[in-house]
Amino acid sequence: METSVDNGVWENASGYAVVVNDEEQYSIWPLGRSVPEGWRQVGVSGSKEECLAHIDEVWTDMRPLSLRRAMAEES
Amino acid sequence: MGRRNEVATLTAAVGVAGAVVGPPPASPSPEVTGDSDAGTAVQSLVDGARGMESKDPLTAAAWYRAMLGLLTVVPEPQGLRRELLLALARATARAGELGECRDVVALRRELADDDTADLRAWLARMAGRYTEARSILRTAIRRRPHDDAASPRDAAALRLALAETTIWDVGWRWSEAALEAAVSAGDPVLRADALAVHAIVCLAHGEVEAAGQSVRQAAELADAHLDTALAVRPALLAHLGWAATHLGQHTQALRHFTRGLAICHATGQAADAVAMLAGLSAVRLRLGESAEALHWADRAARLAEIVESDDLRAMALVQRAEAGLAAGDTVRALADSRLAATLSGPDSPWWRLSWVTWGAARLASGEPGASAAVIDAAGDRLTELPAWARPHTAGLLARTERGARGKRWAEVSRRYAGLLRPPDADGAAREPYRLSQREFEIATLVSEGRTNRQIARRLTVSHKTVETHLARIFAKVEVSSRAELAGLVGGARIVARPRRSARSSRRE
Repeated sequence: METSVDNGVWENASGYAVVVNDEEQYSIWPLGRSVPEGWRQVGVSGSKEECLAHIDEVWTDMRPLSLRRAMAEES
Repeated sequence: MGRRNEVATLTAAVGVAGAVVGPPPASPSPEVTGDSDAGTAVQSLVDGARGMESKDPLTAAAWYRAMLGLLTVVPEPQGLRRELLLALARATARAGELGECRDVVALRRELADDDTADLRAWLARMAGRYTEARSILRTAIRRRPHDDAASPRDAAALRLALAETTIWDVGWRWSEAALEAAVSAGDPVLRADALAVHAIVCLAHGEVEAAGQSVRQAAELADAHLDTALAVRPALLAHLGWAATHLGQHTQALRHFTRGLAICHATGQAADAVAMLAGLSAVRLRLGESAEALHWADRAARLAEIVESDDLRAMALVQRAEAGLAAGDTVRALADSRLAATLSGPDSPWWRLSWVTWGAARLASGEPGASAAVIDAAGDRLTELPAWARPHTAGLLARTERGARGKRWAEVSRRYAGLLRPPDADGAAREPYRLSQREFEIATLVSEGRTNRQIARRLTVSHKTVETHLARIFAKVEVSSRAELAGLVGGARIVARPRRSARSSRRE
């Protein structure tokens, strides 16, 4: 019914997925929408808060991957 | 003897720095050449520069750089290098020297992560990496001593920075915690900023009343302080300006942005100046003054380019594209909104907003199919957009649908009608607003992005008459901006009263 569409309009998307890009930088993306180019899902989903909590945990070295590699070669 | 030499060298150093960059407003006290020990002397030099930080960050940075250079020739007092590096990073951030700030913060062997959290988060945000900024700030907040009693101001500043990452986004509720922390820190400027940020977050979720209260309190605090006090945190005036803009308080918004811009100019704080310029453009646009809007957005875009922040550039370009659309410059709007979408990644709220504007520009250039791209970015229920951006986007989508497939127009307009006002206003379907034929005509032209002058020419009436009509329309349909009005038209929430038939007019 139309009303059910209208009532749901102001609720946030039902959930979010943790996504990561080629530089291993993390972000959050609404479930059910195609992930933008250059990003992929890591297989964790939940509310925005839950996704961010997961990212806080796993993303401890925030240097982009290319920089990490360059620095590892140097030393 | 050695001590005296050290003091003399450092004092000379300040002389050198002073010759290069001009004297500091608060000169170091003369006792440094006397018998006081080197530690005190150095401290007073650092304090002198620190006093300059919000008044003239570029000069302060030059001072810190000069002092750091001299540390190689004099024995370093305990911890001074670290302190100077941090101070240099903060001063360069204020001055909008992002590259140098990044270089200093990257000296991880010398600077602890905890010391640079606020700066690293700010740099991440300026690069459009909002998740990184949030993660850095949350980690820093978690790692602080439990009671935050040691430095409640720093704790509140971190929480406020976290809330600040959400003002163009939805789904995060950190502004209340920031406000609580700011109140207990007892710093009125910090509290005013927390109130303004809270107001914007409320507005993003459609809570107008709570926002109005916070804005009033924030404005009272800001008005009670001198420019020199607000120079420590000019972003407060940008936040206050945006909140007022979204509340439709255009005169207040102009006042805050103009004051903020003057402070940023006087003190050389470039990054915050971009937000003020973009804000001035947004208000002018809502007032229907598209040439003015274009002027301010252009300045914002040029300054953002100098500052080298992709996120600020995206913000300024979205604004310039919107102003270009209103002024009828579709080609420029297309180029600007497209560039904004390229500069920002999906991790920045400007990515979404630039796609919406790009969709509008494509529609204006005769590509009705553009709605697919907009829906892709904004979500088909638009819930990823702040509440103030939804009516405009809903109207845009309804217009693209109408252009693309006439048959689905009725269904689509019904669907988007639900987006135009939050359901808590009242759940039931509301009667559409009834306007006179002339008012309806004007409302429709406004929804097509035409300026008052263009409308006046089209209807062969004076510019003033259009203004008068528009004021009446705004009052009748209870909106304060052209974008909102466009949303109502797009969502078929406004209808024209039927023309009086010959019979009914005779009866009158």
